[in-house]
Amino acid sequence: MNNDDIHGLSGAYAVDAVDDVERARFEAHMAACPQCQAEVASLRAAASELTSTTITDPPPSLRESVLLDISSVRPLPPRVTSEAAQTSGSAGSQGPSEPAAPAAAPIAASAATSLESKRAERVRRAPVRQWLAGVAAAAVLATAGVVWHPWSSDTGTVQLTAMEQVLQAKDAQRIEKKVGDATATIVRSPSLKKAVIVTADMPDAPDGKVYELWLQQGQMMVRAGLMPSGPANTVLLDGDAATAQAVGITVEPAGGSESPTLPPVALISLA
Amino acid sequence: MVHMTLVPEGELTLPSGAGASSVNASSLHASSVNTELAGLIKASSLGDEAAFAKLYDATAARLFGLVLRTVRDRTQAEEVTQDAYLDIWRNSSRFDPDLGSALSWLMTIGHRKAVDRVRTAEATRRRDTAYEARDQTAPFDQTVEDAHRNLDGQRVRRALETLTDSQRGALELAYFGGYTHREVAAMLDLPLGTAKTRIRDGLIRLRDTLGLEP
Repeated sequence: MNNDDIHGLSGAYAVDAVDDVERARFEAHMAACPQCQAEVASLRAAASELTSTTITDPPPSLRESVLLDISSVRPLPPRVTSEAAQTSGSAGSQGPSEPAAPAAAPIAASAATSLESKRAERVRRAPVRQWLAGVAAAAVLATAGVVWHPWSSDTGTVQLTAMEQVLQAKDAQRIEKKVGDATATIVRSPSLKKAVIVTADMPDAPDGKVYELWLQQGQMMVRAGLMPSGPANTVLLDGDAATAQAVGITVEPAGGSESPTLPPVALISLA
Repeated sequence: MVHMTLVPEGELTLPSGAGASSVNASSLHASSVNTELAGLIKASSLGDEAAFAKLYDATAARLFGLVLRTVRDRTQAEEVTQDAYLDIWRNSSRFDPDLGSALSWLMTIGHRKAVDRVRTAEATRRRDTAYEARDQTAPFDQTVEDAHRNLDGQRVRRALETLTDSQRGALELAYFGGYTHREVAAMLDLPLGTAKTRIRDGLIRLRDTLGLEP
């Protein structure tokens, strides 16, 4: 799909008639396209009017269940811009302290940072043999509620070209993996030597933990970045994805680890 | 900063199936109603459960009807609706009235939840079973019982008549069917890329006919 086509996806996106990769691709585009943002908002408003044709009273018991639910749940705080958030550059700063990361914003931030700040190759490695032993015992992810923010709006100041390029590359390969109820889709462009991971329905990492990404390079596992919190994210992986044999996901302490903690959540072969 | 005063004291006039006799003609997209809903969402974000109960009462028949139409199975529709309202409560501070109307925000959350549900393999299987057993689907031009008593429903139906058959068909499969544009294209034997255009064109015509802000 080229850039001319992507505007045309606004209607399908507005009514959720897109798959996870298309959604990620469109959101990456929309973050830098005020025209599409406005169009999506207006088309969603139009679509929401359709619900006046299907009005149906729910049973009274549902009201009780809903009110009981909320009585034990604290509303999330508004998004505020902290000093730390302004100065930090890594995707990891989106980390687990925020219980539900916005759908669009982390995409933007992580894309901008992981390519631009080609960090001094602080490559951390761990033997693959050890890793593979852990895969057999890989923990299955538990179900989690989807938290979704249709009006995430921290947009306009970011460069998204790196991720967009991968998602729209002519030679983009797509590998999808289900882990429990979660889905991880890798989109890799050999010519760009880059890969993007798109997640859906990921349960939160445990308190104080974060999902870390790895690229298998030969016999070593090399750090490839941290996942922002939240069930649905799109992250550009650090490192050369053209030579990598697999993408791994582990649960690590906040900030990430030098070497992967086993067992991994998933190991996705790129072969 | 705290807009508690925006929370209306009286009942909202949003149509809800059973009480639709009290509906006024332009209630739904009237900005005053959306302003009231926005006030309730704001109050909810501050932990006001009574305001949230009002928000629920004003919108539940809309959201439940949408979810039921999409997932078709009543038990699942109740689960999905419950889940959607919990999300609405949790994320109430993230609603930004500058970026869209309150009703649009609520229905967008409900729609996404419903679509997520029907796209899981298990739910698809269960839905198909329920569908065959009950055949409760209703295309746009058939009328869901309560919609006849609902002026907004009539207005939207008339607006839908301005769409071409192919736009309406694609939009219905996408919005109420929960199918992706690629699936819609395959179902309607359209070349890939055509369905998304019809969905978009249909929505644009609907938006313009209803006089919504572009």
